[in-house]
Amino acid sequence: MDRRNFLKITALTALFGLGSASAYKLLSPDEILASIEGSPACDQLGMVIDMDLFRSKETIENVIEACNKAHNIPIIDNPKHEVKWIWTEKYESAFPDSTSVHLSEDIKAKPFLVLCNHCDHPACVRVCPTQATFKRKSDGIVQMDYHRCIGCRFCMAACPYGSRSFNWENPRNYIKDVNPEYPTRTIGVVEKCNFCVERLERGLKPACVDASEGAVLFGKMNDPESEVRAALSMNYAVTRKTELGTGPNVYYIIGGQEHA
Amino acid sequence: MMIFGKKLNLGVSLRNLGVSLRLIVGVVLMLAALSLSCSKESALGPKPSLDTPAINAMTNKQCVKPAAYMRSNHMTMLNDWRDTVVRGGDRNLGEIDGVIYEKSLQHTCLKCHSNPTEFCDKCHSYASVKVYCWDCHVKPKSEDVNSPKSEDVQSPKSEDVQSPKSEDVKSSNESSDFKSIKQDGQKVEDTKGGEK
Repeated sequence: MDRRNFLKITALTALFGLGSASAYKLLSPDEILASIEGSPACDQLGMVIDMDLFRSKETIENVIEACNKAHNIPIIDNPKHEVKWIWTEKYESAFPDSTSVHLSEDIKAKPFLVLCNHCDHPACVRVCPTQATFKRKSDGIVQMDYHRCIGCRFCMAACPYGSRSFNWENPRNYIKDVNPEYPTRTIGVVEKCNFCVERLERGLKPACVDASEGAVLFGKMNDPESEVRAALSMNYAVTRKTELGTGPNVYYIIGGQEHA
Repeated sequence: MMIFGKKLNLGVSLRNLGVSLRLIVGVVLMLAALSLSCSKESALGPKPSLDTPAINAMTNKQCVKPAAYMRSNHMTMLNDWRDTVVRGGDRNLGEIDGVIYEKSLQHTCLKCHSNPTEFCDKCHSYASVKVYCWDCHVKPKSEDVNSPKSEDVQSPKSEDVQSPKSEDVKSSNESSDFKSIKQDGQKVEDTKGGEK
């Protein structure tokens, strides 16, 4: 065998080896099962947002305001630099896969509250090189350890919901009244909704839930007795970009009670 | 008189003796002053202030660990707290002298050491070690710490989250409104009870 043939055979063998390994990974039955079995966390927390129960736009503004104040979120006008934990989107932006031409005007006009979905299989966690973003085993909250974030923004590219914001500027300059109970972030760090983990630890519900006047429900997704599961069993509810297989845990009741 | 093979004329030396003596006395005095100031600095170092309302009110002035341990290990302890709280969800530091403490820079350390400028910065400036805690964590202004946090910083129902007033920190059993926390982040019991 001459040198040329030896190199050819070696290269082909290597290619075949790599290809079969990745094919096995893609078709691995465990992975497919895991993607439809729900959250690996024992007490996965989730949210149900009932758009019909928002009586006024003020309530929605109050919800956002409560979150902003609780977490020292900078208010930056420049849309390229803005930081958002919970905000509103139009239906076609929030649910691009299930929008249609003749959508009712009512739904078209509604501001849908969107936030981190604390996915069962979060893409952001998979790509984080420092494990600054991780999924809590106990309650499935996708949490960030800002001490570890190196600002690479892989998570922002991975998240299909745009739930993550990067601090392009020093956020302290854009916070009117700093809430001393919660840290701010610093320039060069990514941030997102944490399901108010600091409030849950004190036995409180998330700030947005408290401010929503009952339109946002919160609880354990794997507990059939929970408030969220009761609401989901009574109503037709959807999640955002379900087909991506991330397993979002924020559900939306769009049509109201009569759709049960 | 022979010194180092040189013959010195005592008569001449005596003439300069007054000058030499004054010189020697001056040098000795200067050295004494210098060594005194050095020993003073090394023995005492910078003096971080413990004069805060919360600490003054304590009968047993005791930190969560002995002062010597804190002096040499507070940085590793804080790193350990950071990891166990953020990544493990475990805030419970346990009970010390009948007081339940929480692993928290904001809610535990700063409740007593409400004067970080007079406390942390004293040694850190002296040792030229930059404290980057305050890049994110909110450094309390000494005067703000004594007053309860204003209601408007939290959502309507969130008064419960607010820090205890400094009076609460003082007395042992009702020292904090911190509730015991289980690993899974759910509330287990309310140590103060009836507060919500």
